Amino acid sequence: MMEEYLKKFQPAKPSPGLKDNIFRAVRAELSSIANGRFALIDKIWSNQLFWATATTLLVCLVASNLYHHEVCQKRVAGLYAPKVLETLTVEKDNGKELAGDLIALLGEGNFAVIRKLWEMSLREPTTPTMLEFRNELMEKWFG
Amino acid sequence: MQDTSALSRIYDEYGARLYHYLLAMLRSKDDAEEVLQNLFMRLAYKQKRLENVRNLTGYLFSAARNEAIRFIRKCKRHREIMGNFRNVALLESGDNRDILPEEVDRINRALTMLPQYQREVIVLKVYEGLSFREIARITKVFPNTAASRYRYGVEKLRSLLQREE
Repeated sequence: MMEEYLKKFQPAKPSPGLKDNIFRAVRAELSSIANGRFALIDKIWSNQLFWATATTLLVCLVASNLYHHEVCQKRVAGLYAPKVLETLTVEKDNGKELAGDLIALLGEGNFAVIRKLWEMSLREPTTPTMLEFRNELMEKWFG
Repeated sequence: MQDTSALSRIYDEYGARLYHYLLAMLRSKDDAEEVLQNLFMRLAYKQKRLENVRNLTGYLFSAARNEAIRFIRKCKRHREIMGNFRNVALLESGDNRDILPEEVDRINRALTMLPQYQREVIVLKVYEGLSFREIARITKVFPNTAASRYRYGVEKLRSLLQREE
């Protein structure tokens, strides 16, 4: 009976502009995180690591939740992808082919194949810098 | 821009409902809105994981509750006012013209005077239509406890309303 009585009333509603405010804040937060991650990538990239690291970088970008972020896509397409292409071309005989496949996979967001690539990249010869970098990424992005 | 459309759809379906639940927990419009924002921030990090959540309603209300508790612990001001009487408009007359403004005030006053653990169960049961088993999962108590909290809450509400008549 009390339940019926309570149902006569409507629940109080939030302020009309609340959704806009929340999503503005959410987008700002995600942008700031994305920029923070790119700062880390830039730092690593400047160390001139070999192609497996380049692959790892892109795999991490895709695997991270921020792949669909506009900033992230622009950076992948405009900055990292050409660098990966260049690095692969220089360091591997079949570099161009590999780079093309990799970039196509990244574009499709094919996670199963990307995961395979990630695992393959981990089997490549590693340097202390790369190990350190990989651990840093694993901790930061995959918890 | 990261695709927030899935999150936006979640807000459209659950935003007002979660707000109402948070309002029942926190008894402050500003605090409820702030906690709702914190909640959506947290959900934004987990967008992919949300796709695999089987019981989204239960998940979201549990997450909202955790966020409110985190807020209460962090906010000294809130701890100070939690124990004091604080009237907040938890319910409205909506389109029902038979309900007088005084009646709305009366029910809101009575609801505000209930302990928070009874108030939240009432909101989840009456306005969300959740079972005691579901409420128990959200509030982390046994189903019998959730049921008795509801029963005592309703009894107390009835007596508070009778006292005011």
